[in-house]
Amino acid sequence: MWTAFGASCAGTGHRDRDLPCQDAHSFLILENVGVMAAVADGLGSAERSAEGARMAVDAALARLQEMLSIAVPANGSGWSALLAAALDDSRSAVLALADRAGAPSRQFGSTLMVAALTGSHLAVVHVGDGAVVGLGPGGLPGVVSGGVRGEYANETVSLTAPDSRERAVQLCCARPPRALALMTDGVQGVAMNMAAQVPWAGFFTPYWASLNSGAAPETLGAELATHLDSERYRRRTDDDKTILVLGRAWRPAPGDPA
Amino acid sequence: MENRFDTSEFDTSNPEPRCPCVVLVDTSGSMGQAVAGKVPIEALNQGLVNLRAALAEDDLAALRVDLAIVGFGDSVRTIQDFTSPLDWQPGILQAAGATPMGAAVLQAMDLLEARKQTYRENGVSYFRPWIFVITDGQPTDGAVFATACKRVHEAEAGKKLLLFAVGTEGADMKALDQLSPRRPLLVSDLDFKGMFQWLSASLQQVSRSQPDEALSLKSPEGTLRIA
Repeated sequence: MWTAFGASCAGTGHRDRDLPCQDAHSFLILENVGVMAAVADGLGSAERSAEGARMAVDAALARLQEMLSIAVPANGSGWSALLAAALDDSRSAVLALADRAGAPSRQFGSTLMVAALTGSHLAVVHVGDGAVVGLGPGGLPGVVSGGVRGEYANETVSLTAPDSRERAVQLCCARPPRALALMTDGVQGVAMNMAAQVPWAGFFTPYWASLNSGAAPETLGAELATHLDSERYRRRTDDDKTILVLGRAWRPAPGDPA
Repeated sequence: MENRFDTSEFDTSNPEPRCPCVVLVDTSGSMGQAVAGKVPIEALNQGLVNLRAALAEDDLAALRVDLAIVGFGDSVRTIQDFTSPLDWQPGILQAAGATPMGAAVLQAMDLLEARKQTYRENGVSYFRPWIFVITDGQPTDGAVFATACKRVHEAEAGKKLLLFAVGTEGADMKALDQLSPRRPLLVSDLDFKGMFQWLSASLQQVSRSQPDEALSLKSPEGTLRIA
């Protein structure tokens, strides 16, 4: 059974300046296919980035849903093309939003991660920072995509940039991990060693375990939101924080046929 | 109520990103000559003490700001290599000699490049470096100063650094205008206090900035917007 849960939480730095949470996330479970997920981190420099991030996520998933209702790709190149189309649609939707608002597109700038996890493939497109981490063989996490940063700590790539497609990380593999976590940079710094791109296994343990807990996504999401707003996080970062976890329960739940 | 995610352990191996800044101070002979009862070098020494105190008081800035100080007078000298404000010991600057400002700027740029290399080798992320020049006179190394102006403008255009120039009354503001891509600041009555307050507040703001966040730095002459 495919499942997913996630939460976004406004950082204290944003609250202090009366800014909304500029992160957005969403997922789509297609029981016969897998889980489609998207996360966007609205840029602090972009006045309307919360709207941009929301639009980026919704448009990417809408495109995936529409295409998958017609046909499910049979191979890696098909999945890669599908994710590339989702990225293009997402960007076009944000540019159109800016156009309707009569505002420069950079005001709606955000990062974007889109992942499709199925029984046979994992495909990812990733613009800007944040990370996608997979649960590898032996139960150890590995970085699927560490994103793209600029030279400076306060620089990243925006979906609305003219060269965002060229600078996007795009990958597809035919041996998918059992589970996947997408996170914005507010979480990335406590979940992995950034220089070596090595995830901290102990960070992820309760996340992977929760996929098997049988708890409803809403319950897990609400509990995660409380956790992300905890004092422990506030001491480490004042940025917005998002984690989205997806995968397939790999232990039979009680009552399941053996 | 127990939260199942509270058992998630944090990776604590990531070093804090650094915000490198070279303060370039004029230590030429004229800085030791009293103006209206005040000795510029003494006012500057007090200003540096205040700068250190303000940054050291801010927990995040104390961890992230990486300050060096280079003096230019009878020679160009690194008085304090890069360090945290907590360990910063500029000492008491003495005034003597000419004003080799161009050579000092070039040395600051070299120091910053070397520092960035050290960051990269150690997996430390960093913010765009700053050079902050303070003078009461005019550059005495004409050809080198011209080279420095050219290199600063190229580096600024390539977003390699940000240079701020500050002159006291009597400084060659025209030369500072050539050097600095933004309008140089004039400090009246040797009142370095406000200027160093602005520098510490700005470095505190930079050291907190999030990815792709433009900075609006409130300067004594208005708001500087730095994309």
